[in-house]
Amino acid sequence: MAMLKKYFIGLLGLCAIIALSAGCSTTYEYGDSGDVPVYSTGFGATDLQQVAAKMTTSLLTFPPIVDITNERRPVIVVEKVKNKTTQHIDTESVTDSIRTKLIRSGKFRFLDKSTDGQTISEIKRQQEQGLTKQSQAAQFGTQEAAEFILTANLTEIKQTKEEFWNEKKAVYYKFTMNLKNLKSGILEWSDEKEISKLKTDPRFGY
Amino acid sequence: MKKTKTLLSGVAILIALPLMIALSGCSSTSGIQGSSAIMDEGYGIQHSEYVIVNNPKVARGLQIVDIATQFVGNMLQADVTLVSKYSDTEAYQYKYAWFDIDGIEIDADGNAWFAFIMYGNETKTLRGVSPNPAAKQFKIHIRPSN
Repeated sequence: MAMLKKYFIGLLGLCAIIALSAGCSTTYEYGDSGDVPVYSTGFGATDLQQVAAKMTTSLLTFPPIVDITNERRPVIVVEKVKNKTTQHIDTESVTDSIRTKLIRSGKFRFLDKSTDGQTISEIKRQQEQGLTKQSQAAQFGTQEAAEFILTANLTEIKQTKEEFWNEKKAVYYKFTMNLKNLKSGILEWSDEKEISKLKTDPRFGY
Repeated sequence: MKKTKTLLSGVAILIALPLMIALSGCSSTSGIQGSSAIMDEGYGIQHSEYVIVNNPKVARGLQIVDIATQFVGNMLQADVTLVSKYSDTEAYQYKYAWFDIDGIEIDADGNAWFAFIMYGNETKTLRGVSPNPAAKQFKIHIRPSN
């Protein structure tokens, strides 16, 4: 019986080791881009999606903008987001998402300043190389002018609290976006999205 | 007798331990679903709404009490009002899906899950706006936060 007991305890230990080590190998898999987990208090993909959704919804449903977009599709130019946080954030990605959503709504048209260099060289090529029919060649000075400019700021406030068991960190983000009429200088629309992220670090254990 | 008891409890641990470890990472990703459609079948605009409960545990704590739909310009706007039936704070996620008049999903890849918190017995409205004017129906999926 004592032998059986020893054998049984050994089996129990082996089983526990196998069960515990089952998840210890490195794995790779595809995730859902619409369900990105939160691993840090940094400005992440989920925050980008939240900001883009909030700003698009707000702009598309703001009554004076609804009146304007019922009549025509205004032309907008997007400025880079002023990143006032201490983090390196690809803010162009945020404005790209907002711009894409607004274009796909069919309500706005956009000018893309980032490709102006390529546009100039292509127009020059069409006009100077002698390969393009001049009746069809693009001309300088024929592009549409933007009616509105979209500007944005991203700020953060960090707070930490030391406790005996834990260290708590709270990061508050505020993304503010404005739509300004370039001719009149009037701010036609503005909205904010606030995001709060919390981290609790236990001092003991993990 | 004592030895048999020890052996039996050992067997129970042997079965329960791997099972507990295997199940520790599992949580249901289903929840509740609200839906609304606007149809014009020649005799005026008709609304139809329904709520589907896929996870009774979520439905015990959260109830869809109102589904309001309106057009802002020509964009479909949805306002889904929820009430928490718990007195504790609970974390959830929601996602809107938009469909055209034929029931085909619009921009299926572009809808992300958004986190929200329901405080004890709180009432909250989740607003969504369709990605473009083609949307005539929507669904909202609500699930517990992981």
